[in-house]
Amino acid sequence: MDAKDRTRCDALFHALGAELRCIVADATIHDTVADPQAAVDEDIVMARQALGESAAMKRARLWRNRPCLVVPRRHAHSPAIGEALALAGMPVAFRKSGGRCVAHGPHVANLTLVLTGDHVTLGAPYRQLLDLLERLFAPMGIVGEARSVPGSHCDGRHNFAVGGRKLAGTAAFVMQRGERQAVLAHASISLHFTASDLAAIMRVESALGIDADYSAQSHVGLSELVRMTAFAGNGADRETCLA
Amino acid sequence: MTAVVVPADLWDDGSTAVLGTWLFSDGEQVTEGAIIAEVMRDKASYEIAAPASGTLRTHVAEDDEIALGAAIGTIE
Repeated sequence: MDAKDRTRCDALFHALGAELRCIVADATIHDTVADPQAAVDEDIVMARQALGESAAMKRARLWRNRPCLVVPRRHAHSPAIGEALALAGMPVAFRKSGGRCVAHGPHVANLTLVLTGDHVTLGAPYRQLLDLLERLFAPMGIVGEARSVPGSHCDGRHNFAVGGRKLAGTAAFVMQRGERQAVLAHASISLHFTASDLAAIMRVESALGIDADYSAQSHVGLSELVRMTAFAGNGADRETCLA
Repeated sequence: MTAVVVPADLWDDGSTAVLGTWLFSDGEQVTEGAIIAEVMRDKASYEIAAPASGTLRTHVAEDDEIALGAAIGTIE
């Protein structure tokens, strides 16, 4: 990713942040925390705090991480994890939600939604996150759908796909504390699709014994979509987003 | 002896899941309320708490398919 792409990603991230604050006034915006694992763990801290509150909570966080791969924690004890880490070519962090390996970095915006109490919909942990994604992208003229995208990494039924290509992937973690539950649903939004991410993901997953054969054609970044749509004014610098 | 059961209300479409991770090993001591396992479905991971204190006996292996209401282990 060159400096121009980085500038465009920064502008898109800030545009999403501005739009998120219009929807969820107290949303947290975190840009590039120092330690990749600490940035991932901040989601769990937020969920634990929400579980500690007696009232029903709905909290949102938009954040970016340093370049790294993020792997479900269940693989941390795989006999092949050492080989996988060596092949990653960048730091590897572990998360508690399901799915497969994903890449983080300045070109990926992560959106986390934590719900407790009456906001919890156990049977449909992704519904409110997908609704929020829809509202976030609408001012950019981007309309998507929840669907699986064959050939995409970390595929699932609840991707946010545009034109049949994956713009954001989702995963969830449901925490249990006595009778109380918290749903943590998060999305990785591609600000700028980076093919080298796929290569790193496939190296790591192959080492873990996962059949990994992904196609760049199955993915799309927000930077590409914004070029194709009328970018509505939402506080972002349109020229920078399109630069 | 108390069964460790996947709660029947975790999701509502009757689909199956897999046992993602045991956080304690067979034969380990666990405390009531401690999170002992995670069940994976649809890229969502659900925590399973110990229903009692005692010795955990696991009845299914990681990656085994399980259904809502299934007993995945016991606490002795």
